[in-house]
Formats: sequence, C-alpha cells, structure tokens
Amino acid sequence: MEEQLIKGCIKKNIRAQQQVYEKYAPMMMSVCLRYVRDRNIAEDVLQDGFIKVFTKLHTYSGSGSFAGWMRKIFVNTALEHLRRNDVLKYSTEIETAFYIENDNVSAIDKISADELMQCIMELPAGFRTVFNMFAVEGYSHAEIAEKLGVREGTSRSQYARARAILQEKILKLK
Amino acid sequence: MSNDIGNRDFEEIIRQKLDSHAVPVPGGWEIIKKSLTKRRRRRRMYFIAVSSVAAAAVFFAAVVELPRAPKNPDLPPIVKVEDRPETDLLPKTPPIDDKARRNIDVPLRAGTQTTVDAGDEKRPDAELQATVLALNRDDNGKLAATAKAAAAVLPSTVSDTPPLIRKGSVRIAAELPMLKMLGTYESDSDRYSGKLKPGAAQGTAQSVAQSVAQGTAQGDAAQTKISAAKRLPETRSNGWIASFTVGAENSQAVNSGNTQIVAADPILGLDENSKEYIKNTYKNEMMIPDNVAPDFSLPLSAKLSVRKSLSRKWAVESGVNYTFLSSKYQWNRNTVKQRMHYLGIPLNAVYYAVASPQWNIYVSAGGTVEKCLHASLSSSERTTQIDVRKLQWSVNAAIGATYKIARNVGVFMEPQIGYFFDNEQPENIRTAWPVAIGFGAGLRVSL
Repeated sequence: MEEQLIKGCIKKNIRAQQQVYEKYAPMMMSVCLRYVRDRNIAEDVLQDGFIKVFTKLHTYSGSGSFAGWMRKIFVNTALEHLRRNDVLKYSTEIETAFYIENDNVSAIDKISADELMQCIMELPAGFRTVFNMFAVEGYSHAEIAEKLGVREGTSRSQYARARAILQEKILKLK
Repeated sequence: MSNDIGNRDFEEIIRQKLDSHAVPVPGGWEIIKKSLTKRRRRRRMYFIAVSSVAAAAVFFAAVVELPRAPKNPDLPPIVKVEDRPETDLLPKTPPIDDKARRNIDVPLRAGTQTTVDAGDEKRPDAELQATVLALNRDDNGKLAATAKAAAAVLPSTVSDTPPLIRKGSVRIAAELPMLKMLGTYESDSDRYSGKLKPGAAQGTAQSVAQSVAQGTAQGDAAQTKISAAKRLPETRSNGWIASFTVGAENSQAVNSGNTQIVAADPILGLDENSKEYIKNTYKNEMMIPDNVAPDFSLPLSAKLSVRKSLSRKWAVESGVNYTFLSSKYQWNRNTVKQRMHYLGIPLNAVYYAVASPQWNIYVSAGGTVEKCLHASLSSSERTTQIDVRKLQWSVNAAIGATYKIARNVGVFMEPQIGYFFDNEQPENIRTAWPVAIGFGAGLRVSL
C-alpha cells in the first residue's frame, strides 16, 4: 500500500500526495514543533518539508523505513530554518545546570508524550536542537557537531545540560 | 558503566514516547497543493519557452535556411551585397572612362571564369578580368549558365552606387569589393573564400551573380535597400512584419494565496441572473457541488499577427490569436473537465525602445477581444456544451526583444501582463485571477 503511494507521488499524482500528507503530516508536525517552538513557523517548515519530500521522492531508495527517510528531511528543513535565522547562534545560555542521577529516569516514564513534548519545547533553542538530534533522532555527537558547525565537545556539554534541565522540569511536573 | 546504561535507558524512553507522537495539522494540504501546482506550472512555462525557441530555430532552419543552401557544392557561395557595410561597397580603384563600360552577353557554364577587356583602350596597369558566375535554374531544374551584361562588373560603373541587378524576382548581386584588382586567386578554395594572392599585379574583377536573365543595373534601389537595412531591420522593406507566437499565461504568479474562488461563491462579480444562468446551464447539469474549487491548467495560446511600421519608432500590430483554457473539478471520486477555446483579435501599439540592425527591444500595449468558440464540460459519463454569448475583453502590455537570425527573419521573446475584464464568462482562470502574467516567443518575418 505504502509502495503504491510512493509510486503515485513519484508520478506527481495529486491524490497520492494528499494521502501521504494526511498520513504523515501530524507525525512530522511533531518533529517540526520539537525544533521550532512557534506553531506558525513550524507549519511553514512542515510545508517546506513536504515540498522537498514530493520533489525528492525519486531519491528514496526504499531500503529504510519511509517514515524515517521523511523524518530526516523534516529535521534538515528545521535545522535550515534555525541556521537561516541565527537561532542557534543567539540561543540563551544556561548558566546553572545540574545533573540528576540516572535513577530518576523512571520519572520520565511516568509522564505523557504531550508533557514530554512540552518540556522539550521549553528548552532554549541551542539545547533543544542538540537534545533532539542526539536523544530523539539518534545522531552521534560527531554528526551533530558537523551539522551545526560546532565542536564535538560543545555538542556533548550542551546535551548534558539540556538533559539536566529537562529532568528538572519533569521532576517539577510530578 | 551504570551511567551509560542509564543514558541509553533515558534516550530509549524518550524515543519510544516521541516516536509516534503526532500533532494535528488542520488545513495544511491546500497550501502545499497550491505550491506544488505552481511549481509544475512554472516548469511548464520554462518548457514552453524553450520549446518555442527550439521550434522557431527548427522552423528557421527548415523553411528559411535550407532552401538557400547551395545545391552544387562546387559552386562558389553567393555573397549578399546587402549585408556588407556600405563603405565596403564603395570602389577602391580609380574609375575608368566610359569606353571601359561594356556589356557581357556571353552564355557561360556555371563557374566559368572569363576575361573581359576593359575597352578598346586597354589599361596599361592591369588586364581586367571579370568572373561572372551565373546561375539560372530553368523549368527543368537544370542549371544553365547565362551571363548577361553586368555593366557593374567594370570598374567604371562602380564609382556611383553599388549595382544590384534585378529581373522580376530574380536578383543579380555584384560583389564590388571583389573588383579591387589587387591580384588573382591562389587556388580554388581561395577563390571561393575571396582571398587574393598578395602582391599580384594583375587586376581581377569578379562579379558573383545569381540567376541572370537580363541585367539591368538598379543602383538606386540597392542603395535604398542598404540604408533601410541600417536604419531598422524590421521596417526595411515595406514596413509589414508577420509573426507567429506561442505562449502561456500564469495567473497564479501574481495571485498566489488568493483563495477566494474556493467554495462559497465560485462565480465572482456577476449579477444574480448571470450566476443562475451559468450555474443552471452547466455546473448544476454536471452535478458539480458549489463548494468544489476547480484546478486551473496553464492557458496556452498561439497567435498570428502582422505589424505595420508607422515610423522609425512606432508600429501597430493586429492579427488573430487562439487560446485554450482548461480546468478540472474534482470531488470524492468524480472528475469533470472543462475545456474552452477562444479566438481573439488583438490590437496593439508598439514602440521600439532600442533598435539596431541585429536586434531590437520594444514595448507594446493594447487590447484584445475574444470570442469563445467552443466550451464544454465532460466527465466519464457525459458531456455538456456551455453556451458563451458574451465577448471577453482584455488589455495587455508586453516588453519584447527580437533578434535577427536572417535577413528577413527574427526570433523574439515577449513577457506579457494582461487584465481580463469581467464579461460573464464561465468560471475559468481568468475570471478567478483577472491579472495574468504570460510569456510568448516566436518568429517575425519582414514582408
């Protein structure tokens, strides 16, 4: 079924494109919102992302999952937006961040996905970006450093601080 | 170690929670659909533009250039007098007296070289030679060689005007710069290319002539022609220019984001009676719901026109154009296609902003009246005709550039903008977006 949809989209079939959009747009909107907090901007990123998906679909090899391939496109589109608007450059520095022991991991398990999203969206842009890329998308620190144009050590420290802040926020929710 | 395991647990939980997280996006598809449609239209525009230029080039090669190509490769190329600068056509040798003027009335084979005496009194410095290459194709298609009296080949005649000898539509072109009498050709190839052997003392006069029947020198005509060519390429003959244009309009280019045609009131700007008439005539008949917005295709048009020069800078243009409009209504699993064929008469004023012998830039403005010749709605099950009684009026402006690719032929490209008045036409891209940007390209032929 999904294969048929993809073939239809490659042939520029508008109905197939609409079905792909309706199926994946909510999931990809979640991705966009994690990177771009503002809903209107996230919708713009979503539109740009889908245009890219439909125009570059012929490059999808079919080896990985289609949703995973699309997710990468939306992450890259969101990063382009952040870079273009210098959001990463001017992200707020957190002066005090504290580390919470791993035994508090269980607290995360007890909150809902919406609550977790809300906590992530409240992170400063720089921390949020590194956190999303490492913890959610699974990029390595070396890859993040390359994509964001920072040192690998910066990526590691930003992630550690983002995680600490997130855990603090989660604990406050409970 | 435990810290690493803790990290992995943390990230794993995060991924699991967010992997299938979704946020509803109401109404986003329409914007993406419009954007995709716009990209396709833009691509189609580029395709049309490139195709037009390619078609023009092919047309030029097939219709204009190929018939002019020499049939016999052994013959020397025909040299066009008109394309040479006027200064090149002036004689560079002192004139000789009238005794030197002499008609040549000797049948020759094509490519034959003959020597002509300059008169009873031979010039002391050089023996005058003239090569008269005469090609005359008779009714049987055979090449006959006839050379006839080119008074122009003799230097004495070239002191006034460059000779151009005409008989009906057949032209003799005498190549005066070749009369320089500087030397002889070193080889056949040099002869064809016009390269002279340096330092040769023998004077040689060559006339390259085409289709000689009976020569009559018409220097005045030639001079007029040369000066006209220098003045403005498109107005050099009798001021009439015919053109063929293909083009397309892209209304969305200036109206993107305008979604008012969608749904509630698809027929804008008409009175209630007109709306009812149109709705009852075709939309209701095809059971098209009122809230279904049509997808418009790019309007395509072709135009044949003539342009008459009024002065060096001004011209008027008119002709006939054909336009095809199509759109599609889609809802649930139903599709209804609408096709409309318009025939119109444009009338434009043209102002040449820049003009050179090789190219020009012009602006034009005017109006067009169009009549819908045929309009229909069709689904897989049925077809219904739309009766369009009123005329479509519009105004337009364009800026264009013509590049001359041959003596009488130019290619042109012409971005246009137009405004279509509300003349109670069935719902189409022009009623939805009255302002349209278009692109035309084609060929212009000076008559």
